[in-house]
Amino acid sequence: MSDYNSTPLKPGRDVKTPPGWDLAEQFDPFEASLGPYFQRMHDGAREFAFQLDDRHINAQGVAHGGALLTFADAALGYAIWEATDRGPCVTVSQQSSFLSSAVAGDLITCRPEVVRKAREVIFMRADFKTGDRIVFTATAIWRIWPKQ
Amino acid sequence: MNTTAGKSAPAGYTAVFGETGFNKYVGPIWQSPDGAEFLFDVREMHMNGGGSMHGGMAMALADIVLGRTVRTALGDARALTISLNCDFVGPAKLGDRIRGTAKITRKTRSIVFISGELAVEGKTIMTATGLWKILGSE
Repeated sequence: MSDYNSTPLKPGRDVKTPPGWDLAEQFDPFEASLGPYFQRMHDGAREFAFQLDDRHINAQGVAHGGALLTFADAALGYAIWEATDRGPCVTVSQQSSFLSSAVAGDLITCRPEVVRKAREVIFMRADFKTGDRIVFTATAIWRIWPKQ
Repeated sequence: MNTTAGKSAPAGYTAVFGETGFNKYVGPIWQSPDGAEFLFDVREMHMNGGGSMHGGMAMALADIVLGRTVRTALGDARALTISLNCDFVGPAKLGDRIRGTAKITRKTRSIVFISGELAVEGKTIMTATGLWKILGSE
């Protein structure tokens, strides 16, 4: 895997950090353009969040699947980075189910879980909520390589 | 009109829901006059930090290609994504023109089953299957 950008990028918009959260550093132009994303340690695990705004919604005024899925890919990627000490990794499959809708202003949060870390693949899952209500769920498989 | 490294809108194609929101922010995504083909040009803003298009943008494209195909087939009825499974077969690079196609597998009274793919120059980069719930069918 070629060199990965290691310079944090400026989020695409100035958004107030929600109380109790911190900015998550963003290294991918696409994530930065839809960001900021937030993170915190909570009850022993790292959680991620982002605030829905007009960049993330569809023509019906609800969250666009693409914006939610991009956040999911980013959050799972952060969690895999922690599990592999920032080793190279890439998504190979993601399965997502959409349970309820979200609107601009909602804070979407998740708490990614490593289900199994094998030598070449890692299995992840997360529920994505607004408040206590689950908006969507995802499982994903990523290819990993030992860190050089 | 958006241009990407000299590429402009394909003749006769229209932008998918390009007026507001996410599709406007990341787009344009072009749909062919017969509705069967979608085209998307990868720009700087769509990239990850490692030289490929971001996986989230690929999934977003799959959602748009499959969802728009469902919408075309349903006519007046509206539908919502309830399931989307994406396999990342290969990467897309800056400047690539991605071609998206989808085909309805089955339509019942309440659910549409659909599958599709994204390709660059004939090489598949993503396969996707999904379920859309038809609203107002209860």
